[in-house]
Amino acid sequence: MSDWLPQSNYLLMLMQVGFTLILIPVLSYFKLTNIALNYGINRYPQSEAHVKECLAKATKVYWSSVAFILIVVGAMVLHAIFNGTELLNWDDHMGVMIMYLLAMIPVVVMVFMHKRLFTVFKQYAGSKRSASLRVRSWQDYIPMSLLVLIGIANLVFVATILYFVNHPFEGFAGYANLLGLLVINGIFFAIVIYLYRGKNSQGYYHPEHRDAIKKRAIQINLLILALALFHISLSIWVQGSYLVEYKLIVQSLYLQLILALSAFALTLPKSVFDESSDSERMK
Amino acid sequence: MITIDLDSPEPLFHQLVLQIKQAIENKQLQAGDALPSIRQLAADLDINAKTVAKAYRLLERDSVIESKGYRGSFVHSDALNNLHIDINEWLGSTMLVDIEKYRKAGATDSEIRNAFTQAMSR
Repeated sequence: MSDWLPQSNYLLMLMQVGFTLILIPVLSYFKLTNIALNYGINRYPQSEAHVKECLAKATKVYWSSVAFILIVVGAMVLHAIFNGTELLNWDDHMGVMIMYLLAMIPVVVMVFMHKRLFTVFKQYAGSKRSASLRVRSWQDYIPMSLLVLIGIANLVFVATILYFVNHPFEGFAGYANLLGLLVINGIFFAIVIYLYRGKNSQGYYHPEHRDAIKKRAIQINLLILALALFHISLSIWVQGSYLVEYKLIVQSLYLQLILALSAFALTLPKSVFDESSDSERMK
Repeated sequence: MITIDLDSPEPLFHQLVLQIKQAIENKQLQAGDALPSIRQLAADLDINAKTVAKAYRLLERDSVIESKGYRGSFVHSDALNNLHIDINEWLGSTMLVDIEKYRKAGATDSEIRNAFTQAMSR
């Protein structure tokens, strides 16, 4: 193993902490307040007091959860650095995964905060409901380029498995990986169907807004599927080609990217704000 | 875009029928244009699919839209001419002519009413 690698692993862990528990939470919170103030209160001015009250409560819960997890994860990493051990005196790979799972908690809290906020908007949306008369199909939500990317990711995965079946390494699961591929695709496409058919978006003022939000959620979900498949393939190559020391770098960067994408899925597309301000100007 | 009011005393299916007719009249929808599926419209409006299905059924009866099996519902080629067909008005005027005929033949109103009730229950 290179001499610089243990140090770079620690740097990577610190980077993961900074990115997933400081940068992403700050940006997510900024986006939430932006939605509350620039989308919600603009659309439903009578909701202002209720929204601000909801935001104040959410702020306490959110930052408490972020601070608590930051302390726990920070302690984990600093303990490893000062003692020169692996994370949790156990295994860096598992440790990085635990750090990721802990960092997902604020994202989950943020999901509930969004849900609560849009429940408040819905209360002020009145008795009127609107819908577009335009026919939608799945092609409106999933661009061909994304389908091609998922196809390539699947092909790379299958090719990787076929190669390593003939050149196995210790711990390689063989054809069982293909079953895993089916399960991953199945789970992600089930989520896409759920998002496509979902109708809990009446808090969004305009049908076009609902569509834009649904479209982005579906696309991010499929992008995460493609990234997951590429990541698994790359991990197998790294492990099979005896570059196993670099597996931690690949894993950590991948987890940070997935967390950033998950957090990004909660924001509103720019077009929604543009349309809001356009219609405000027209009033 | 269509908008319905849940608090309006007008039934939801009727609001839908009127809004779709209005969209055709305003040329937002043209003859041959596809309409959203019942499921899509019900999900977007967050109302029961049966309500949308009833609205579509009434529009189809008035030849404003036509169903093409699994392909979905489309605006009827003669929709613009059929927009103002009011089946209740037509029924009223047609029946008035018939009732006048029966009265001229000497039938009393109660006899006519009984005959209608019996004929309807067949």
